[in-house]
Amino acid sequence: MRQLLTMICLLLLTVGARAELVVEVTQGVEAPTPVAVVPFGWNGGQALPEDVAEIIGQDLSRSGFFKSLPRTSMLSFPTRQSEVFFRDWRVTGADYLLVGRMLPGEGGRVSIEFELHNVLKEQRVLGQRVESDLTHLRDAAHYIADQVFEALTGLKGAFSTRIVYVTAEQLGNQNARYRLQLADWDGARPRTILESREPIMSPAWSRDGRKLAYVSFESGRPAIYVQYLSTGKRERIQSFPGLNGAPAWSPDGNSMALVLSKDGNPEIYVLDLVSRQLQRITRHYSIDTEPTWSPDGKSIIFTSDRGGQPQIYKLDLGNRNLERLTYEGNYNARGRLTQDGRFLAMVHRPQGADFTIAVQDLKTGRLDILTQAGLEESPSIAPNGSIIIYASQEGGRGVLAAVSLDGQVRFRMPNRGGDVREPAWSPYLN
Amino acid sequence: MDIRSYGLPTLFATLLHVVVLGALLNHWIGDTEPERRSVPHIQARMIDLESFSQQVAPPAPAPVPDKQELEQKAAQQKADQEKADQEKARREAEAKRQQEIQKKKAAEEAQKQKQVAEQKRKAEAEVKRKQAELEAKKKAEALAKRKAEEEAKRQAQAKRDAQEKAKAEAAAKAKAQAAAEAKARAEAEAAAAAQAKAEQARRAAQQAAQQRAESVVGDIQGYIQALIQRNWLVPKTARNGMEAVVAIRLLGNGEVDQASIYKSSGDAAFDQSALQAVYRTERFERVAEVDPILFERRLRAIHIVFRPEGLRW
Amino acid sequence: MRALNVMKAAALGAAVIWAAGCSTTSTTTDADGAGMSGQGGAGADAYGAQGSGVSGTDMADLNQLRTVFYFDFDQSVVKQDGFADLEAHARYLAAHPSASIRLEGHADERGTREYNIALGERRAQSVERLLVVNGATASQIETISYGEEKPAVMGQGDASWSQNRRVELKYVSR
Repeated sequence: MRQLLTMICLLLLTVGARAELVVEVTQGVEAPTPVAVVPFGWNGGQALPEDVAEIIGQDLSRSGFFKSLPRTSMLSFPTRQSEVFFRDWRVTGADYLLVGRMLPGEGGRVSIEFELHNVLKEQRVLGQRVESDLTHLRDAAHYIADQVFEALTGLKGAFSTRIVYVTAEQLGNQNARYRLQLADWDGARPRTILESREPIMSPAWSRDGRKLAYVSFESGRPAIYVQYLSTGKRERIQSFPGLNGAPAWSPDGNSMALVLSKDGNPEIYVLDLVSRQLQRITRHYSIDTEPTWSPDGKSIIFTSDRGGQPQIYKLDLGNRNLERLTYEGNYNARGRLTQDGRFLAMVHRPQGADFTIAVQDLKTGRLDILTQAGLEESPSIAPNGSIIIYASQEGGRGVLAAVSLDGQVRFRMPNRGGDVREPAWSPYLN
Repeated sequence: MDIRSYGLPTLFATLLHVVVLGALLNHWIGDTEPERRSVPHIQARMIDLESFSQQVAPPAPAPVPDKQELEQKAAQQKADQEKADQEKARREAEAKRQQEIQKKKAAEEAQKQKQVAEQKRKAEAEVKRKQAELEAKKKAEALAKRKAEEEAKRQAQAKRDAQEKAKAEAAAKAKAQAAAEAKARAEAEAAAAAQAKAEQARRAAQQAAQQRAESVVGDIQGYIQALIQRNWLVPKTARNGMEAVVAIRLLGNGEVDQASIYKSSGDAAFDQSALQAVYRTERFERVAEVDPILFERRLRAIHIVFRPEGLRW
Repeated sequence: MRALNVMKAAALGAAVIWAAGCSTTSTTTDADGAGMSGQGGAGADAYGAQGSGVSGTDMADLNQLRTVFYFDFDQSVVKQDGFADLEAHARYLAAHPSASIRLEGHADERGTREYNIALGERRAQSVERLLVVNGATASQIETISYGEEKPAVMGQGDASWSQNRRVELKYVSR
């Protein structure tokens, strides 16, 4: 009996001694993580066409997750671990440090070695060697930015993805040029993949990133085309009387949602791309348009003014359940979902204001306006859900802009002329 | 399900059967028994007492009627009174008719009567003898009974006396015991009070020490929380409801010796940001001021729970 | 003549409101459309002034008719000040079965592009219904919507936008 008691006492004592002090932290600083991207070393003769470290720093900053330290605040420019004094970088305010060096090879080849360090833990996080050449340094830079992003966030980087968009140029009375353009995600290196005297609209990427669908008026009437990016080969896939618009590829790539008014007014249809069978999925005398698929492919989100004003609805393709998703504001249209299906980006007009880009948390219903009010439209979300690219206006001209999902970071894309509109973000391309 | 659904009806059916059976049985038993008893008795007595009473004065010596029967008879007499009255008229007529017949038969009867009288005398003598015997027996029995009763009374009285005596003794004993116990209790209480006083003093001292320790630990807790909150960069992927626990081990001077994810939030950036908050803090200076024993016991190993509140999402 | 025209305008107006009621779900839209009749001028007076210039269905007269009809924001109800000219176009089409027209619907730059394409089509259809009610044959009319892709006037602000919310009536053959 006495033994048992002593044992219990001992047990209680040990438990008491083992119970760790628990500190609860419920608040923090909501700010991007500071990263120092040191200029990469280069011992080749000629000047490089691209500043790789600059591109990486910009990529990371624009994601909204990181803040790239300006070079002016750097005390030294190490290019390898042996040259790094972590104390200095801690004082500088960097949590992470990216250093690298570029080595010239034969025939314009370049080897890039980079190291990512955790300044606070004084530990190397990542180290790689990338082979490139002088004409593809931007690709190499985006690739390295992707590696850093994934190592620090666990999310796949979207810096090697592309965007397409439409430009319009007025060349005088009734004379205009419409172009479909393809560029890096940051708007760099644009090239024209289609040019027309008649409007081009609603470009949409296939899920494998190899094809584009869009609407072209080149025949005098709107028709839906599919174009292969690698060969430029195109195919007209739908041209009924009336509207042929708003193509949207299904996640499995086998179907396409689109809008036709062949039955009298705009309705949403699903076209089986294999059998070419057309299935009408909305049936209402109002305008039903701008379809987009949920990531699981089981429902379609679309705009309808069946309630008197444009609002966004969700139609379950299985049980045909219709659910209205938006209630705030008198104009909500062209919804796009994040890949996890949680957030809905849209064009939103608050009561008595102009058009903005807003995001609604479908889990809580909370709506946040991300941009200034104006003529903002055509939101398109990066495949990792971090950034929304959209069309804005500046000085009466259309420009592209981007904003992080939380609205904290916003930036404008370079504009090389013309009225720019309708950006569409590609899926992951690698 | 199906079995249970039959249970109640079955129960009802059984109950119904039992009730019906019971009613029937009650009917049979309750009705037939009195019938069987009353009818023969009434008839027997009619003949014995009315028809032959005058000629054959006492009928065949009735066996000593058993007590129960007598009671029943009494009860029945009342019930049978009406019937008896109705019968009376009929019986009187019958008696007249028989007297006539008797007169006719008187000659024959005279001779016969002698025989009968002889028999009667004999029978009466026999009855008298039997009655005497019975009375003697009764007397003896009554005497024995009285004696037995008296004896029982005496014994009962003795027993009562003994019990009362025992009771009194027990009461006295209990009284004494209670007094002793009360005394002991009072003594124990006094001792306990003294002991408690001492214990209380000891405990108060201990408690004061404990309180001082707790207040030091509480202070350090708030201090660590403030430092970490200032140094935690909440990542973009953080959502309300996420929770990561970082286990840290401190050195005596307050420096972070080790930090690791004790419980993951499931979000890599979130976990990493929690660790970075600890690494950024590097050292909790005020921990160095804490008494080494207290540090060892309470502050060497700490858990920090990162659970953001009030985020947008 | 004038009184007759006023009566016709009233009948036409009723027809348009009925037709608009078919094409849109919103009752406020209808109410707005009716309420808007004063905005383009003095309603029937404006009609009378314009309508008095057209007595026949000659080609010469045709050239004097309006070919652009304007709309309110997010609305597809034809304004009353366009009724007289549309009726004259309908008379011409009825009298010339071989003639055909193309109705091009447009929207201003506000709102989303695909929604505006649908809106432009709805506007063109409103005009088409009006013409058919007044004698034109559906097979003579072709509709197309350009949405906000082909603005008539560049620039922002109500002045530009109101010019761009329109249906253009173009003769393919006369």
